[in-house]
Amino acid sequence: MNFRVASDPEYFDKNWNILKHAIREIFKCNDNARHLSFGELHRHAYYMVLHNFGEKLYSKLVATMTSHVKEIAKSVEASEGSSFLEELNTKWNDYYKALEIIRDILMYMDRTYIPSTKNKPVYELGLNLWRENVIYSNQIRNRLSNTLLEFVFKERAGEDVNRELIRNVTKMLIDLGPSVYEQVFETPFLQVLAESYKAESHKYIEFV
Amino acid sequence: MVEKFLTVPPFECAWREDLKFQEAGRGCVAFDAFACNDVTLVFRENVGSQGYHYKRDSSPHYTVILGSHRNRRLKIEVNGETVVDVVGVGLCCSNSFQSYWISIYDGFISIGNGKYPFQDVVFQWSDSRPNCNVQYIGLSSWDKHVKYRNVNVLSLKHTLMPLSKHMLFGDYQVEDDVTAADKQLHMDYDKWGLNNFLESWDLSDMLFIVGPEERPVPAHKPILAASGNFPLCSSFAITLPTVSYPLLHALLHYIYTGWTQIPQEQLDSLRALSLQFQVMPLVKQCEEVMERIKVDNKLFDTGKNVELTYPCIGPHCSTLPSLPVSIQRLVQLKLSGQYSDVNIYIESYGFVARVHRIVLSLWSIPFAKMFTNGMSESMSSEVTLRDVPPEAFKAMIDFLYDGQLNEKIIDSGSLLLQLLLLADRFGVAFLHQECCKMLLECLSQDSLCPLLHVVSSIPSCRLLKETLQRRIAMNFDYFISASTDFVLLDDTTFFNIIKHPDLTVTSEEKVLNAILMFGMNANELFAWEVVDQLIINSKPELLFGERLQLVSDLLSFVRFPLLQHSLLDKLQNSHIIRHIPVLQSLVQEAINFAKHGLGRPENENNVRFQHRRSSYRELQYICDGDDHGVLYFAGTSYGEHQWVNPLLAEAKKITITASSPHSRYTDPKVLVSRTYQGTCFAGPRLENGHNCSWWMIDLGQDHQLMCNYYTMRQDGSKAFPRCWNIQGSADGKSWRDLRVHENDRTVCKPGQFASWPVVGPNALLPFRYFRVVLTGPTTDATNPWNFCICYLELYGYFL
Repeated sequence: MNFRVASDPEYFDKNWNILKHAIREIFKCNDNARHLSFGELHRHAYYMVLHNFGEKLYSKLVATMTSHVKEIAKSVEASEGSSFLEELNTKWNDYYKALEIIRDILMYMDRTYIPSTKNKPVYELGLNLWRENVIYSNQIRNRLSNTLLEFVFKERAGEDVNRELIRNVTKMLIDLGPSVYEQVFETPFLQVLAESYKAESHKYIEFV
Repeated sequence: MVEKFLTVPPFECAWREDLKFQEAGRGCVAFDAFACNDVTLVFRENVGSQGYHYKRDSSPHYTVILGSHRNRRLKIEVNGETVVDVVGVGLCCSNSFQSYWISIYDGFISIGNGKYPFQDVVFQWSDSRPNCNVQYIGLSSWDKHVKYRNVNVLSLKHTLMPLSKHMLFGDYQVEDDVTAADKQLHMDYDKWGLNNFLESWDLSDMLFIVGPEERPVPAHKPILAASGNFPLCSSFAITLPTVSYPLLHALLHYIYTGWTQIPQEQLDSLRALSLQFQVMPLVKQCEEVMERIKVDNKLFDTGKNVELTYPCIGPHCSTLPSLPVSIQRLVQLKLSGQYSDVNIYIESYGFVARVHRIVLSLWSIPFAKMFTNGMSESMSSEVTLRDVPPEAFKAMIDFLYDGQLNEKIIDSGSLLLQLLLLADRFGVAFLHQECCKMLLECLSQDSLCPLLHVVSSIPSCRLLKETLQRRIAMNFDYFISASTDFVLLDDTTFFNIIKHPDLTVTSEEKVLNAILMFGMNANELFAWEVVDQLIINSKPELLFGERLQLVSDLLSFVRFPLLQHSLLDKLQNSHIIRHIPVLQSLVQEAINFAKHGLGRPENENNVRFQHRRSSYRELQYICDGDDHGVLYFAGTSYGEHQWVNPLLAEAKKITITASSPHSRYTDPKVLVSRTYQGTCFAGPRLENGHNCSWWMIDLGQDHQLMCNYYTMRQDGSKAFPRCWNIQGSADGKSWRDLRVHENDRTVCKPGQFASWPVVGPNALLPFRYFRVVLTGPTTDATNPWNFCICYLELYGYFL
């Protein structure tokens, strides 16, 4: 079996390039995964960890994923008006699917290298990167909060809104951790709600 | 259900009364199709007439065309008008049957790839003016023949989870979804098993359709075939209109997880269902519980659940040995290939096995992901693996079907090791564990180093690694003298051995030698003096290369103060010490210790000044019949009292046996009595058809000896031995030659003493048992197999 490779000085770079290419393809479009071999990519990742390149592999993965997430953040930031939420949702769905595939490929790293370190497993890493770079981006965070509230109040006012979209986006916030959901949606939502009830109740009091 | 194939000629459309949704406007059709392009399905309110063509249809209908425009587009038409026309999705595969499903729910059309309805959605579209009356399904074509098979119509009455996710209703609440935390749990290696596939669409190849609501419940043919007798051959779906879902669920739960529960009053129905499908262990268990309830009526309690657990033997939940799945039948399925769904190839070797994906996946998360996560292998019925040793892979596949390690593999150490690596790579935890267990059981001294070399890189083999490191540390002398294999170990492993608390060595000088050899990546054995010469014309950087720092670090684990003074002096005047500053200070420290004692109190805690936890006592040969040997030492209870015959002492320290029964002339006491005896021999016994004569010493379970010298004394006869061996053994069964005498003419007088050194690596292995054994006839022609000695003594390092 493959035990001499470790002495090849270019071993890591060669194999990492294969993985990096695959990760980029999967991020570009989930559908590309159909043309990639799980067996091959899993094998490369397995041997890299076996040859003590776990740490290097992980840091390269973080770099690749971070740069990708930053690109997404830019494109979401650039989206205009009402397409903002849709763009965010589409990107999230694609990202999430890609993340699952990447986690599968790197499962040996998750299983054997990660527990001996303080690093986060691939799935968690992916969610953290998304949270820090996309949701908490200056141009996105408040806009997201406001857009969601706007949608909710439109809906309460009887207007026709895309409920599935809101459902998906709030689901994303919950997946990212309860605190994210609270900060970005629940707290501002309850505040505005309280104010609107206050206003309404004032109206009633005045009416009476 | 349509017959095996249904071929639709160009420009035609097949209609059947039974190809219809149960409820108008809502339903799902799943099918396989073989076409170059244009797999066309028409959904109408009524059956189409003969010669029907959708282009001419004026009544309301939906048409879905997969692979339109020469297999480049997906089209949906409403009443003949194109409403969807997208490039590159849901296309056909021209060289084989491909599976699709199409569901319609009040004008909401979902199209998916693959055998599992509601999974792998490729396209969805919602009609703003839904036609809620379409019910009949027509299978059509364009200008080429299209073959259809396995056409199944499913009801959507029962709300289906996977689909509901995509539907345009629902509130802001999300509790019904699988949460992120759950998904993580599913990757738990220790709990992975068939339970993960219970009622899962993943890898399912058949459906139960239960109850009046016609709820589809997916299952896996190979599993069912091996656990009972289900009517699987004839159809894709088993329809059970009178069986309720909870009842079928209870049955499947039992098969997939090894246990189930059911309200008491339904026990009888569960028994009947199990009997219908011949799931005999469950039938038996139901009957047992019913019997118990009958005997003791108080046990009966309507609405109370009874739990039924398959009495498993295996330690792992939900892998084969602990499930009511018949191993024999599963192995038969493997041999016959029935219901198998993937061919496995190994690159540059070829075909290895035709297997069932579900069987591989229930053991292995990597295989499960390979077959389901949507990458290239998930779509293909052929999988090619690389970097997989074929024999070991076949052995793994065998294990995945029967859960047992084959004898042949156990006997072959290298195959076992390859199997361990495969188990690690494919995450088969149970096989991994079995391999580690076997490797530990079959360890031989000479396989330790190569094994450790491989195992040290596998993070999941920690226990095995630690055991091997300890074994090597305890037999350190042997490992650094038998071969240079140890220099191949990685730095960390060697480091762990050197600083191991159980490191046992006859001399600290050997630790020094080993470190230098390791540092130089030596391909032959040598001592520090050789390095001392080499270093005159070289530099430490050149000699040790990358391992220079490691050598410096390791030197501090050598307990120089335990070395003899003369050796320390020699070291102090060596060349090597001038090149390695650490060595200089360590040697200086040791010399100061010899001169001034511990000196500063902090030295008391310095391990370098302490003897190792277990250390050898040197029992050195001085002359024939001296009182320095181990048998004499045993006579004093290892230095506790005056010598007495060790076999007559109160607490027996040693045992001596002979190949022939005890008699006047075959008396073990004589051998250690230190007195001359005219006639004393061990007679022959037959072992494996050969004459065999020997004297054997057992040092007891607390003691071992690395034998480096031994003495024998001829009795009064002239039966001189010519061919014999001295052997050592750890268990009294398998023996290693310590010294082989062939045609040795040393003994030539009655009563003569004779002694020989034992050299070579085996002399450095500690053993509990020793024996001298005749391997050829003596010089006495009448009784050539009497081994006539009246004295035996062993020397060496005693532990």
